[in-house]
Amino acid sequence: MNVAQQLINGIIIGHAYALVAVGWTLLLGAARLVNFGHGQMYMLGAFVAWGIMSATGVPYLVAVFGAVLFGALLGAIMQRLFLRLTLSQDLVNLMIVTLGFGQALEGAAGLAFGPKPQTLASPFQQISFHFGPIWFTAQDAILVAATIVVFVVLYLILNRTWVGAAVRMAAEDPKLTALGGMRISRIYMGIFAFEGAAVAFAATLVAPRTPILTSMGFDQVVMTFVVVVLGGIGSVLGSYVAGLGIGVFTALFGALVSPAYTTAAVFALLIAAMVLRPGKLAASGSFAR
Amino acid sequence: MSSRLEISDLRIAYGASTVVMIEHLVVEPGTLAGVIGANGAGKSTLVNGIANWSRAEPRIAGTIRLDGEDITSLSPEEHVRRGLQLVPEGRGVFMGLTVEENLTAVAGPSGETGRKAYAVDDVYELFPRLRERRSNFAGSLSGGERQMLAVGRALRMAPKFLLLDEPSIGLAPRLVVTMLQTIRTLVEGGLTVLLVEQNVNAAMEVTDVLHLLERGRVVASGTVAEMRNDPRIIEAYLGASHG
Repeated sequence: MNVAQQLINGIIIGHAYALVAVGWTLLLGAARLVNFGHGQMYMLGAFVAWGIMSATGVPYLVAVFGAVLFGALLGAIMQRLFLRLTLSQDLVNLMIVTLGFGQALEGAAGLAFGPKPQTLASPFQQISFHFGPIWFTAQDAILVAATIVVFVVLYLILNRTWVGAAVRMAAEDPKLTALGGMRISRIYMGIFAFEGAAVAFAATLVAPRTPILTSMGFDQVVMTFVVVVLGGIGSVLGSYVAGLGIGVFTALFGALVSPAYTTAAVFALLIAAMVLRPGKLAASGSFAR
Repeated sequence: MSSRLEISDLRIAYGASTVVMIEHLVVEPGTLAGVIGANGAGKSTLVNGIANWSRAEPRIAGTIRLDGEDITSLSPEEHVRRGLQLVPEGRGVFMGLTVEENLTAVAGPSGETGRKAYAVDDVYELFPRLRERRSNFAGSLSGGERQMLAVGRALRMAPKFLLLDEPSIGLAPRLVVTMLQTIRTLVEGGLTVLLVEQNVNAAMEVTDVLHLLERGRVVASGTVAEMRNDPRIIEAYLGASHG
């Protein structure tokens, strides 16, 4: 039993959770919207990158870029499709239609990419670093670094730029934002596009670690939802901390107790957190921090 | 850059109940018109309806013309683009943004509009207090400072017609005078303003024309001098001693 290695694994998985969740965090924090098709968008990001590579033979990093563009476009299209629901912030109906949209994406991906597990081949997955009892791959290191960069850049954009101010305005009072001459639907479209791009980016970095399946979306959406809720519903820094915490928790729980009960344990943690400190979990205007 | 607003047969309704019904109301270019009336008379519904901006989404029928153009069903953003700018009652600013961000994060008009544009520094010139508090969050401002910021933010959109919904609400008496005098200065500079004001005495100090609203209808209109002698105004707002 190598606790140090489990801790490293937990940190890597935790950054993966945080990166997968960052788009939804912004969506919930800034637009007060949900997207239960998030997991299928993750799956599609991985498969689009795989499809680009197997069809054209371009290098991995080019495929990453292609998948991110695809994700941004998919997010923007979703916002256009569900425009009325996003503007009226009809959460129940939005939950249902995004769940359905996710299922449609899963079906389409099954048709396009087939039922077999595939491997998104990253050259960085073959490079590994060993330090005494612990080791990790270059892919893991890139994942951790990219996650930190995404969170820092998002924080700076939200708090230091004109675009960030527009997003915070939309979060605080969408109606009043219109009186500043801004179209709220444009801001929402940008947020959806960011969500799509971020989850596709996360998928291309995380997916090379394991085989990919067109049915893998749902597990992602469940775990992402836990990260977003534990992170304080839409707090950017909160979702980073929550992702990291859940990663370390699942790795250690899996190693020390049993891997079979990890998901159940995460939900027990979620329920405990919501019972013990519900006030801290409520959405707030300070999501940008 | 001043601008004429003409309202005909305007009806604003929530569900089955008509809240505002105005046959004809004109705000002449370069004037400061006041709308007075009791709580619930429909003053806010009227100015929000003109800008087609509301948190409750009423039904609006009738015609509103800005310099001859029908603007009745345009979106709030489109009104902003055309120079019709609303400062809503109460919270007209973003608490989670700094004073400076409130003034910079606007999508003002692009290209040549012929309207007077206010740079952030021009707003600070008009309200020096805001310059001192430029890096503070709007949530930490006093009520008076917030109203200054709301008006300053509206000016950043280079309006030609300003709808102001009770900019003096909750202010200390001295600040009410300052705020209304600043608005008067803007009108002298060529802006046209429709001002909702509950403080009738204060409104009479600065406006050119007053409209008295009761149950959503204009029951009296006239210059300040005329309205001062109107028995309905004297009875309801000025008290017997003025008569």
